[in-house]
Formats: sequence, C-alpha cells, structure tokens
Amino acid sequence: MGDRYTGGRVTPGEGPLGHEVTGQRTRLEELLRSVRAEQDRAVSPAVARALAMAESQLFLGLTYLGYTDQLFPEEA
Amino acid sequence: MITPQTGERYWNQPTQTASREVLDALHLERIRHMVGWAYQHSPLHRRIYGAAGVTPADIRTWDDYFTVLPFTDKPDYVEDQADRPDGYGGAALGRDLWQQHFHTTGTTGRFLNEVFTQYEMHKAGSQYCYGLWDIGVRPGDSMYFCFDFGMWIGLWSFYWGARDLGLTIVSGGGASAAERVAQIMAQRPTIVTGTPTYLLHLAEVAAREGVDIRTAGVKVLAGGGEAGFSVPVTRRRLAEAWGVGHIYDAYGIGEALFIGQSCAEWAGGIHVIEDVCHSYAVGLGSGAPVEDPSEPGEHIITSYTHFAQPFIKYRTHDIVRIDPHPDHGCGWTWKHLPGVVLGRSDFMVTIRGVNVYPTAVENLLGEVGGLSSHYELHITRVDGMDRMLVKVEAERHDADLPAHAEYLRRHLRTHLGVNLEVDVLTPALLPRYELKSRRVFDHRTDAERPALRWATDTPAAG
Repeated sequence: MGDRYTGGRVTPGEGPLGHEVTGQRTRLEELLRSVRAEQDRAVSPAVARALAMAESQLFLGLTYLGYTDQLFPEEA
Repeated sequence: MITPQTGERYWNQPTQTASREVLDALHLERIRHMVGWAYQHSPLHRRIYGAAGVTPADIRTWDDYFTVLPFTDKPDYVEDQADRPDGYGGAALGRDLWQQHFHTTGTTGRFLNEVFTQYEMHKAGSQYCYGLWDIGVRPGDSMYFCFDFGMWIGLWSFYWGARDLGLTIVSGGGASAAERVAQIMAQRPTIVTGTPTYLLHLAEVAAREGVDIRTAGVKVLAGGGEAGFSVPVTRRRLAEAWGVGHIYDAYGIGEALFIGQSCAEWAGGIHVIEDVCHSYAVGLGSGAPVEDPSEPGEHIITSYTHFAQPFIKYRTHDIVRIDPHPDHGCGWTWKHLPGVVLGRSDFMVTIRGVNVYPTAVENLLGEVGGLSSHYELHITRVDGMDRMLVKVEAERHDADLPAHAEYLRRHLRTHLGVNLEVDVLTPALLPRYELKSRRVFDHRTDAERPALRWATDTPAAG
C-alpha cells in the first residue's frame, strides 16, 4: 500500500487509500468511460447487453477502491 | 483447497484494513449520496424526509445523520407497497432495471416485497467473498446448497457470492435429506451451505443411513438464518458431526442487502462489510447512538448497494453490540458484532430460518372463515429449533376440524412462507379472560429465548 490517508474529508481523486489504489481507480474510471462509449455505438442488442454487463462488473471493481463519485452504474 | 494462507490474505485489503477515520469519511460521502438518490427517486423517502422537514442538503455531518435524518422501518415499506401500482414499497427505479424480486415476512401477515437490479445481486453476493476468502476458500473450491432457493434472498445471494468468487456450485434442491447425503458423498464439495439446525439434522440422517459424513471431505459449513453458527456449543457439535475445520456465519438483513460475515479468527460474531453499508446501534428507547461498545442497542443500517429500493437509517429491530475497533487477530478493521444478534426489540420468532411475527399470525387467523376469535400461540424450543403451535377454536360445534386445520395451515404457509403446527379445536375449549386476554405463550427458557440473551450473556471469544 502507498501513502495512508491522514485526516479530513475525502474528496474525489485525493487518494485516501493510497497511490496504488488511486492509480487503479483512475484507470478503471477511464475503462468505464470507454465501455459506456462503446455501448452507445453497439452494433447489435447482443453487443449492447454484453457491454452493459461489463459496465456493471467494472463498476463493482470501482466500489472496492473507495470510489464515491457515483454509487451505481444507472446514475451515469 | 482451504490451504494455509499464501499470497493475498484479504479479499479487498485497501478498505478491509483501512483506518476507522478513512472508513468513516467514505461512509459519510456514500450516505450523503444515498440520501440524495432516495429523495430524488423514491416517493416514500421524499414523503418521510418531507414530513421531518429534511432535504439532502441538510445531511452534511455525522451529527446530521444521527440526529436530523429520520429512521425508516419495515412498516413504512409495507404501507407504501399497498399504495403503489407496482406493489414495491420505496422503489426508486423502474421495472426495466429490475432483475429479481423476493419477499420477506412482515409484522402484519403481508410480505415485504423486495426488488433488485442485476448489479445489486452481484454486489449482494460480493459480501460473502470477504469471509470465505479469509478462511482460505479459493476459485476451484465447490459449494453444495442444501435447499430450494424459494422467494427468500438469503440463498440466492449466497449463490451469487459463490459465482463471484469462482466456486463450483452443486445444487441439492428438490432432494430428500438422504439423497443430499448421497450427493455430498459423491460430489465431495468443499463447503456445505444450510442452516445450523438442518446441517445437524443432515449429519443425523447420514448416521441413520450408515454413512460417516466426516469422510466426505467437507472443509467448511456455511450459512445463517439462525443463531447457531455463532453459538459455541452448536459450532462444536457441527464441527464434530461433520469433521470440518471451519464454521462460517453470515447474518443478513435481506431487504437491505446487509450480509455480515465471520472471519477466519472467529471471535464470537461477524464483521460488517463496510464496503457496502454503514452500521451502528442506538439505545433502546432513546434512539441516540450507543457510544459504549459493551452496551447493546438496536442495529441501524444504511445500504449503499440498494438503489432499486433504498434502505437508509433502517431499523432492523435486532439487538446487537458493535465493536468499532476489533482486535482479535484477523486484521480486518471493519466493525464487529460479537454474538451477532443478541435479541429483538420487537417480538419475533425464527422458525426454520424464517422470521415469524406473532402479530402476523394473529392477523392471518382473522382472515380464515369458520374460525372464532379465540386462539393461542405456543412457542417452544425442540432440538434447538423454535416451533410455533397455533391453537384456535372453530365457530361451530359441527365444524369439520381437520378441514379447517388444513386450510389454516395452507393460509399461514402461503403468507408466512413456513409451516406452523395447527390445532383447530371445538368451541369453548380455550380459557376465557375477563381482562386482557393471554394469546402468546412462550415456553422457552430464558437461555433459549433470544430476546433475553443480550441482557445476560457475554459471548465467548475464540
């Protein structure tokens, strides 16, 4: 683990759980945005549904990482 | 598998071992977000908050959460569902996003309807992974389910947890106890899941069948629904009967997707899974947060996982003690509930894993024609299992008593989800009272009656 949070209110991107966690969270957020963009361009319902499930799973990953900007995928 | 720990010890170390300060900061952010969501999307919550003169902007600090935000309770949801065309109290998302629905028993004889999205089922299941991983369960292990899943969320969420962890699933649905013993001996699962009472029963059936269940290679007994998995004497009996090294307890509030988990260094209770919910206790009667970890209080939870039907500052009516700084060697920093559920702030009996409120039984009796208003409910404990006998008089002397009894049994089964014992009597057999009638007779000893345990018991650790 990287640096520990030392106090105060958590703000997005501040990294209360350490640099390693913050790094992975940032990468997952970018991945999530990519998946959502692909959903908008899905060429069939099959692809759209598969990407929706991928989005849900990616969001599950984010929730392990202290992510509080949103609390579930449908908010996006 | 269940091998000595190597590599990653924790399912999610960043939060599972974070400081209390970090966890509380994350909790407050999520609670504020959740309150805003509910206010915006759930007519029930907007109504409750409106009546209290509260808006999401008012909830900025812990003090706001504890003292300004109103509690919610099961009757709020049951009343709301009666007024909604969709029949789901507190629902905050449209049907197009619902994936599965369940129900749980209410206090009036009407189920509380529950609805969940696909994401929520996965998130519910994820809660099991923390505890199972901690005792060494890994992808490639296998889990045997003893029961049909039915309309209760408990086993379904366990199933999603097993899938999320990568376990091989073996279904024992639709089989007799003897058939399940044979399946376990043939499939040799790592984990067998059921209620403590049923798993003891299964070991007895195996013995009657001439099968030594201890040779099946089962390493873990897991489940919940009853207190036994965190009761030392029951744990010992289970471990001896099955020859297992681990007994794994889960305590859930199904409608709110709260599923606490025991850790590998079992310390007489379960941890709150703080990635998905906030948990605290309030003084009975005062409603104020309990500060002293040794003092019992009513368990209040907020789920961050449940958006289709938010549960925020929700009264569970379970009596718990909460240790906010557990230190029993597991390394988890998440709150610990020693003894799990120590009692109830209302009167509820758990029968074969199903919560039954005497008030619900009383309401249902009044719905059956041909029965009088003279009845008694008798609660007993037999072989470690609570039972309820319903005695009720027929209205007429020439009534077909067996037919009435069968109809009543089915009516109770339909609306409670569990079979109760029923005895329909000829008129005037039950005693009459001049003043307040005595309807409920609890024949259990003080030690057997969970509502009293919290006041007298300190669960042993280790």
